[in-house]
Amino acid sequence: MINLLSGEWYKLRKSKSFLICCVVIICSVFLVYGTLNIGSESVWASMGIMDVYQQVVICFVNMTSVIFSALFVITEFVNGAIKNLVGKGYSKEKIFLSKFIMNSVAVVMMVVLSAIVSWVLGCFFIGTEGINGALIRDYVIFTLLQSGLMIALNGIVITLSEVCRNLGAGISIGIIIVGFSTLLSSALDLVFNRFSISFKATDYWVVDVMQNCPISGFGANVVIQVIFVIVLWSVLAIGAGMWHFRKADIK
Amino acid sequence: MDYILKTENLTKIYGKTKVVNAVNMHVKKGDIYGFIGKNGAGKTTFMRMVTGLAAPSEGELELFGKKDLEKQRKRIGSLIENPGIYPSMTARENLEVVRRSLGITDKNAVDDMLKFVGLSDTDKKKVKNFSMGMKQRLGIAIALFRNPDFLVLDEPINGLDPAGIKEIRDLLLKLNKEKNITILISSHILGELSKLATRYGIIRDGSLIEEFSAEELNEKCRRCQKVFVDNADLAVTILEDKLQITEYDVPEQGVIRIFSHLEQSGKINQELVLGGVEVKESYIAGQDLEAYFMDLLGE
Repeated sequence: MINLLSGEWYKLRKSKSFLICCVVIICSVFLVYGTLNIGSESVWASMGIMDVYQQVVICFVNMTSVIFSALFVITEFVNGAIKNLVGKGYSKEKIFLSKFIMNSVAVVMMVVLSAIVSWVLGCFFIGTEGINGALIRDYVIFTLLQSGLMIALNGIVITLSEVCRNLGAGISIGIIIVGFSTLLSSALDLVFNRFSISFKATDYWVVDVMQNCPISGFGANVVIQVIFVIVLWSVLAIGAGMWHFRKADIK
Repeated sequence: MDYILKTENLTKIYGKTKVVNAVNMHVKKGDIYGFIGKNGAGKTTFMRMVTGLAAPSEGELELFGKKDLEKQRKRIGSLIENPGIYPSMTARENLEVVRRSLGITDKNAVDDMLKFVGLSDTDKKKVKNFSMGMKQRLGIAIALFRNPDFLVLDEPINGLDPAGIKEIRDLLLKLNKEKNITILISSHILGELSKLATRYGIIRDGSLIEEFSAEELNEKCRRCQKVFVDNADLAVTILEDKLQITEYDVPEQGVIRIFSHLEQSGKINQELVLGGVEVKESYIAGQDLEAYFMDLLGE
């Protein structure tokens, strides 16, 4: 497993798509600050670093990360490089798990990058007056929660990418999940409500939880709910991905 | 018998189609096994099952005389269809990924392998800018990492120019002779395969229809005078007593193959007739390898 991770880490380091995704994230932070600043400088009276950071994460980082995840997995099949690992003494489960772990590392790096850039640019555009211990604590908690949710979301994308093994389809599925899956979960809520079922899909769907995650005042129930969603979707995604990867032939 | 690969009724079914149908293949240690078949005959699917890329639907396979395939497959190097390479990386980076993934601790292994396959001067050139031959050599380099005892190569000379084909051929012969690596190789270029292979397997419509050695193939393709007679015993006596011909065989009732005195075929016919043998048909037979394979493949 260590060997597999070492190989995956080397690939990540050499990955041009990872580099581009990081540049896109940095540019998106500039874009958000720049756009708000051009609109009116008084906007900073009602918005802080945390608000901008939240927008960056739920609008840009998740979209960029799912595209990267689809690329990270599917290019292995497109290039045929997966054949260099399968049948070389490693179980398929280990190979899939190593991809999931390294992709999670990449995704967390993207979130952390967006956090750092948002903070630095926030200091530049907004100033450092509002920075205090509470903000730093909330910033760290929000980053941790979003990182976890991002791992779960990208786990789903990795599994679906492994199943479809087609670059166009994988990227499209990722974008659809991020962009439109909340419509489906909201519709499900309406259906459940109609049948007087108290269950709310939006409380458990990873993208909804990501978007509805508070930026301050993290109560224990919020943290527990988010961790539950992270674990639920990560386990489901890894389980389904491993099962399919073990079962399916490599073409 | 010391078999590197032995399959028993190995079968792969996709939907309702048997792509590989009960194949019993035997690859001995030291063999260069030429695997021949038309497009879609099942060669690649068979090789994918051997290397673990596809699971058999039925049947069994043994590697190095053992059935714990996951462990034994560590001793296999493979190049199935296209080499699995990252086009935006250099040859060195591609090999570095493989070195790390396979847990090879010797950092010089990459340089040694690049040198061995003649790619050490590619420096920062991306693989996407490589010629077909260079990509194939890189694919073989990947297959050779971890010093395999058994190489499985699917169409490794496809798309190569004559110089590239010769390079790969020389490399494979070197590996077989110097490192005693057993090789299973498929190719459409039968003439090339015949310069390498010590043993052949012919697959048609998913079934292995024949296995034979290079010597047996040469024997089958040997030029001879084929004579169809009514009395083979009498004909043989005439050949030996009157013509002093001893290089012949009787492959089936009423058929004699004479391997010497081919320039005297007329005289042989005449002597047989004069000796009271009815010669029904007589001609000089003998095929080149390609024609023989084509016959077997039903073309």
